[in-house]
Amino acid sequence: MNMLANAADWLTEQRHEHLTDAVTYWRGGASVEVSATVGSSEHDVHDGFGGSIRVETRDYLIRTEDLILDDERTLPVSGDQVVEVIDGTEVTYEVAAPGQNEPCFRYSDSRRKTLRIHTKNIDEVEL
Amino acid sequence: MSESIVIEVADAVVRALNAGQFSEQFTAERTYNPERKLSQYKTLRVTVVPKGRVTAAADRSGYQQDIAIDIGIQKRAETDAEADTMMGLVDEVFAALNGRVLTDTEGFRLAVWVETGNEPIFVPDHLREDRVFTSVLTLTYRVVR
Repeated sequence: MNMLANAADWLTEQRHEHLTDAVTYWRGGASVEVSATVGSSEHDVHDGFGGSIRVETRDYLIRTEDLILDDERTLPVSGDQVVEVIDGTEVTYEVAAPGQNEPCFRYSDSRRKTLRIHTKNIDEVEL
Repeated sequence: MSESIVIEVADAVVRALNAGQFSEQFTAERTYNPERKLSQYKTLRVTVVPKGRVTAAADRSGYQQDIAIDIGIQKRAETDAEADTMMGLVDEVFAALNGRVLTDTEGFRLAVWVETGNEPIFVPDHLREDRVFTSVLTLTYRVVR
């Protein structure tokens, strides 16, 4: 392994240790708790009759090795869900491609150590 | 201050919808700014928005106004079957309001139905990208004053 690869791995571990929150990743009835770094944004979609749908999107960065469902490593699939508790509200994000003909996730580094998973907020329940 | 006839007609549409019997439960509401978060479409949303008005002479002393009202019918639909259910609801609303005479809050005749459009029948982009079924009915009612 070369020096740059070592540095990339170190950065991945630093992000994992210091820049993550606990979230639960769901597919059907299977779930796993993972540590994720979160980035979010909002955009509006015109609704066809003068209004708009406000879409909150979130990208979750998690270690590829952590996404294990039913004892098997897996990759994100559209329709999977990420659930986290934010200020007393359980918020559900659905894994979804950010646009037409785009994937719902990509690797965020050349060594495929980290997944960047694209999601949209679909539900909120106050606890 | 007198109430706009456009608002009277829109509110009459809301009352007609909320008094109707449909296969899916909803409470229609009139709004100037139909903006909601994606997460709010877990619940069926029926939104009434005034769209347009055309005024013409009715006879020597009076005039008529054709008032177009949009009804947005929206809900998350994760499967084709759920979208089919929503299409069925659109047909129910269509049938319930076609040919109808709208009345004011005291039951007096307010406006008569002229035509109904359904454009778009559904919005493909919403369904594909956000799994939200959106259909818009545009009803035109005539008021003669």
